[in-house]
Amino acid sequence: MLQNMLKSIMISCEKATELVAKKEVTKLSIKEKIGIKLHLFHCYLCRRYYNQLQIISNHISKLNKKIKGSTFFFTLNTSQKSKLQEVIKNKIN
Amino acid sequence: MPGRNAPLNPEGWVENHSDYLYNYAMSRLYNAELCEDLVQETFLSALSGMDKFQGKSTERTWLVSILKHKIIDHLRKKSRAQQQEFIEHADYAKKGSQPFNVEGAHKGMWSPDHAPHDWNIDALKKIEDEEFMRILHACIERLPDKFAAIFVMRMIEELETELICKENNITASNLWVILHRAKIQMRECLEKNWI
Repeated sequence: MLQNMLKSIMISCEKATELVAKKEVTKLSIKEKIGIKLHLFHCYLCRRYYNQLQIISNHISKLNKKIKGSTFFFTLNTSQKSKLQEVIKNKIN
Repeated sequence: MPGRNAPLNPEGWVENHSDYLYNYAMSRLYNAELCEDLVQETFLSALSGMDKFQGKSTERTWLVSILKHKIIDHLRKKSRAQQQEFIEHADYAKKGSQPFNVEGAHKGMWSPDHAPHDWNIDALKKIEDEEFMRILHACIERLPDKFAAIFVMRMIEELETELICKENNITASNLWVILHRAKIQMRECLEKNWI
C-alpha cells in the first residue's frame, strides 16, 4: 500500500516544473505540494531549474527597481525631445 | 478647492519626464521607435485628460499610469492576434526541441540537450544591466507572440493574475501553462546567451 501511495506521489521532471509554474498562479493541492517537495529533494536538475528561474526573476526585479529609481538605460536624443516639445505645444494651442 | 491640487506643467513634461517614460517603456518593449511613439501618445492623452488629474499623485506617477495602459494595450493586441487554439496546441518553439523525453524509460525526465547547465554565478553578476536587457529582450522576441506578451505582463510589468487573464481573455490554467512554457524557453535562451 505504501508503495502504491509513493507511486502516486512520485512525479516526473516535466510534471514538477509544471507545478512550479502552477504554484505561482494558483493554489496547489496537498498532494501536488508533497509531489514537488519529494521531486526537488531527489532531482538536482529540477532544483537547478527552480533556482535559475529565481535568479532570472530576481535580476528582472532588480532592474525594475533601478528604473523606478530613475536609472536611465535608454534616453531620448535632443531632436526626439524637441519633436515631442513641438507636439505638446501644438496641442496646447 | 483651487490650489489644493499639485498643478500640471505640460510645457515641462519633455524636460522632466520624457526620459523616465521612455526608459520605462523600453525596459518592457525594447523597441525604440514604438516606445518613442508611446511616450508621445502618453503626452497627448494626458493633455486631453488634464481635467481628470486629481492631484492625488505626482505628475510623474500620473503620466506613468497613462503610459502603463498604453503598454498593456499594445501587449494585449499582440497577444490577442494569436488564436485561442494556439494555447491548447502550443508546442515548444520548434518541433524536436522538447525539453523532456517524450518516450522511453526516461519519459518525462529532462532530455540531455535541454537539461539546465550549472551556471557561473560570478559571470552573471558581472554582466552590465544594458547587456542583460538586450539578451532578455532578444530571448522574449523568440517566443511566440502570445507567450512574449504574457511573459512581459507577468515578469516585467508584474501584473496580477486576474488582470492578465482578463486582458488576454484566458483562464488561470491557460496562464500558468503559457508561463511555464515561456519560462522553459526563456531559461534555455538566457543560458545560451548570458552565461
